[in-house]
Amino acid sequence: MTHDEAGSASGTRVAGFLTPEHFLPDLRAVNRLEALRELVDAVAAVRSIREPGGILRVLRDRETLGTTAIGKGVAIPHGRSLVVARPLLAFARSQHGVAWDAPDGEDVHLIFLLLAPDAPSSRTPYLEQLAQLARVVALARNRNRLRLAHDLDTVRAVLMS
Amino acid sequence: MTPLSTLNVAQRLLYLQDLDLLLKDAQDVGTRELWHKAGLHVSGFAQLQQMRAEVASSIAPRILDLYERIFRRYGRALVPVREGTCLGCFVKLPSGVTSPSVASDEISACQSCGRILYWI
Repeated sequence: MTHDEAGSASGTRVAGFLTPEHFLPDLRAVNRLEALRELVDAVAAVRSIREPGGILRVLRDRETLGTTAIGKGVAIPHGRSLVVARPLLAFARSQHGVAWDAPDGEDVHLIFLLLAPDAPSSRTPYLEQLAQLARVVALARNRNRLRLAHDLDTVRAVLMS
Repeated sequence: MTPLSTLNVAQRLLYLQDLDLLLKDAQDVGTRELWHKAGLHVSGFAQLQQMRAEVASSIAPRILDLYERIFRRYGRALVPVREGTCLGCFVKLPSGVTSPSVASDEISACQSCGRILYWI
């Protein structure tokens, strides 16, 4: 398998985790912790995770280790825990922007929440998915499409690109 | 955020394990390289270690010692229980082994592999 093929397969897998309930097109939060809480509440509401308090703690601790904002208006908060039953991706968009301590100082408009079960077998795919998301949003045209996307199919198509 | 004082012992152990795994990730060369490529940088390692010390100090020494011994042995001390099965060794638990009450200061360990059980 070539590098491009591996990236595409990873993109297909990660896009498959995104369900309509995990798409928040207009996030209300204005700061990082509120944004994480809003995302976790949304996925907990459809029973995608148990113990939302524990997940929020994992995400907050990851932010303490270093911001998950990668610049150009994008953040990829992520974490692994045994209270996550299966891999999960949620996507949120903020029209007004969220302060996220980004390296370039820009507010964040596109947020991907990536969660995985804590199992040795899930570690590598999870890290590959994180890398794949970062590759996708590195392209300005993909970020623009994500900011304008009206539906989940468009978001999925960008992730698989 | 839920204060540490309101968590029962199993939840504190889970918190500790999540912190330990994150600290381990932060020291793993492969993970750091990948984070770096994605544009993510580690800056709060010492702060996380401080948090780890705070959580550890809130756990009874007897239980903390057990946790640390199992973590060293298996790389994880807590394992989930699903449908009456320990997901560490995949052995069905005896019917008498049930989740401790929410307020309990006790923990249950798998009789087969010795890992601490966490009901989800």
